[in-house]
Amino acid sequence: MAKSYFISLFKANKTLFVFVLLFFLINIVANVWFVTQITPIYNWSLYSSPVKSQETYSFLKIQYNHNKVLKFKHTWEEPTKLFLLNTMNLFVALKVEKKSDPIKEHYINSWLPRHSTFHAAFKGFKNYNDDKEFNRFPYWYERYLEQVVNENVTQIDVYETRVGVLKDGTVKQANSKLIYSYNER
Amino acid sequence: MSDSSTALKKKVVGRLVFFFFFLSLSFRLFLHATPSHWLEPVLFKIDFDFTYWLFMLSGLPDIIIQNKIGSILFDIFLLLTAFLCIILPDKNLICILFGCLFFIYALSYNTYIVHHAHPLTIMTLASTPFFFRNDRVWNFLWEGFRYYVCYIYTMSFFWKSFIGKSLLFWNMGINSFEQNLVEYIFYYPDTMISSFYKFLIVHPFILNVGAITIFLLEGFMVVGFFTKKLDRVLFFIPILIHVATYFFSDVFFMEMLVGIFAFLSFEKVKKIVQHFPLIAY
Repeated sequence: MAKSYFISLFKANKTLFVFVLLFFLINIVANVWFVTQITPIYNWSLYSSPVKSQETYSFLKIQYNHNKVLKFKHTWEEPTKLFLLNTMNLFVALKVEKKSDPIKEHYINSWLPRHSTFHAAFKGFKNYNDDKEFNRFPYWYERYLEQVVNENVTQIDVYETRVGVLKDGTVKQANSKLIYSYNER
Repeated sequence: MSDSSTALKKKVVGRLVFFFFFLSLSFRLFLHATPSHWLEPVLFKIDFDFTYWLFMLSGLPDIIIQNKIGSILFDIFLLLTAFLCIILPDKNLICILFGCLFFIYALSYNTYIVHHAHPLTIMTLASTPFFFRNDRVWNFLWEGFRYYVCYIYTMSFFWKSFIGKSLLFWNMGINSFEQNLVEYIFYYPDTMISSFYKFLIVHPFILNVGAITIFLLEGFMVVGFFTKKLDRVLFFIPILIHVATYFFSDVFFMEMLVGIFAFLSFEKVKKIVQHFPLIAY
C-alpha cells in the first residue's frame, strides 16, 4: 500500500514525490545508520536501552520560603515542571557541581577550529551556557517560581535527595544534602 | 476519492487538528508554558542541532522571547491564528502563518526547557499539509503524514528490538517505573494512585508484561504501511500507548495524539459530519 502511495504520488506530482521520499529516507538513515538528529529529523530511541535496577534514586528537592517544597502532583503539569526542574538540574550540574559540559568542550576544542569562517561571521554566537547565563539564572528562577506557586518567593534551597524503594513499595528517604541556596538580597 | 470528498475531509480533519492545537496551546498558556510567561529565560540548550542554531542566529529569540511586549504579541498571534485555522482550515495562508508560529514556539520551548522533546515539532508536521491550497496535494501530504505516524511508532519499536534491545530486557517495566515514579510516591505516599503504584512495585510481573505489551503495540503500527483496513485499530493504539506512559512512566506525550487524526477515513469523517453538521459548515 505504501508502494502504491509513492507510485500515485510520483505520477501526480514529481516535486512532492522527491520531497516526501527524501524526508522518509533521511529519517530512516538517521535512525538506522548514523543515529543522529537535527530537527525535524529525529531518533525514536526513548526507552530503547535497558534501564538497570538501582538501590537508590536521586532527584533535586526544591524548597522555597524555608519550608515549602516544590511538588507536581499531576503528570499533565509537565510543561511547567520541565521549566523548573530541567533548568535547575542543568544549573546544579554545571555551575554548582562544576561538571564538565561536553557540548561546550566539543564546540570550543573541536568544532570551532574546524569552522573558522563560521566563527569569523558569527563572533557572538555560542551553543552553551556560561557564567553570563548562570549568574542571571537564580533571579530568573525565583521570579518564574513566584508565578507558578503564586506567592512572593524570597529564598530557595536545593537538596540532592536520595530515596530507596522498600519491599512493600514504600519510598523512604536515604539522605538529603543541601547543595545550593539562594536568598533574595 | 472525488474532489468534493477530499475537500470535505480536508475541512473536517483540519478543524479537528487545529482544535487540538488550540486546546494544547490554551493548556500551555494556563501552565505558564508560553513565551509571555517565561520572563526572559536565561539558560538555553541548542547543542549541535543546526535548526536551533539558525533559530538563535535569526535574532527571533531577542524579539519574541527576551522582550516582554514581543512575547505577549507572539502568544496572542499564536492563539489567534490557531483559532482562525479552526474556522478557516482551507485558507492556506493562515495555516502557513500558524504553522510557522507554532514551529517557532516548539523550538523556543525546547530551547528554554533545556531539553529537545519531540512531540511539539511532530505537531508542526501535522499542520504542513494544510499549507497547500490544492486539495489533491493536501490529500497526498496528509496520507504521507499518516505513514509518518506509523513510521514513528515502528521506528521506536525497531530501536527497542534491534538497537537498544530493551524489548529483550525483562525488568524494563519495573525499573523504568521506579526510576520515573519514586519521586511521586515519595511526595504523595497516601494518594489512591500511590497505593496502586506500591502494589505494582510488589508485583513487578504486571509492569514488565505491560512494558512489553506497549512495545509490541508500537511495533503493530507497522501494519499501517500495508493496509488501511486496520486504521480504526491504529487510531486507538497511540491513545493506549500515551495513556499508559502517562500513568506508568510519568511522561506527558499526549500532544503526539495529533497523529491519530491521520487514521480517520472518509467514511468516519462522514459519520462525524452526520453527528456534528456544524463541523463541515
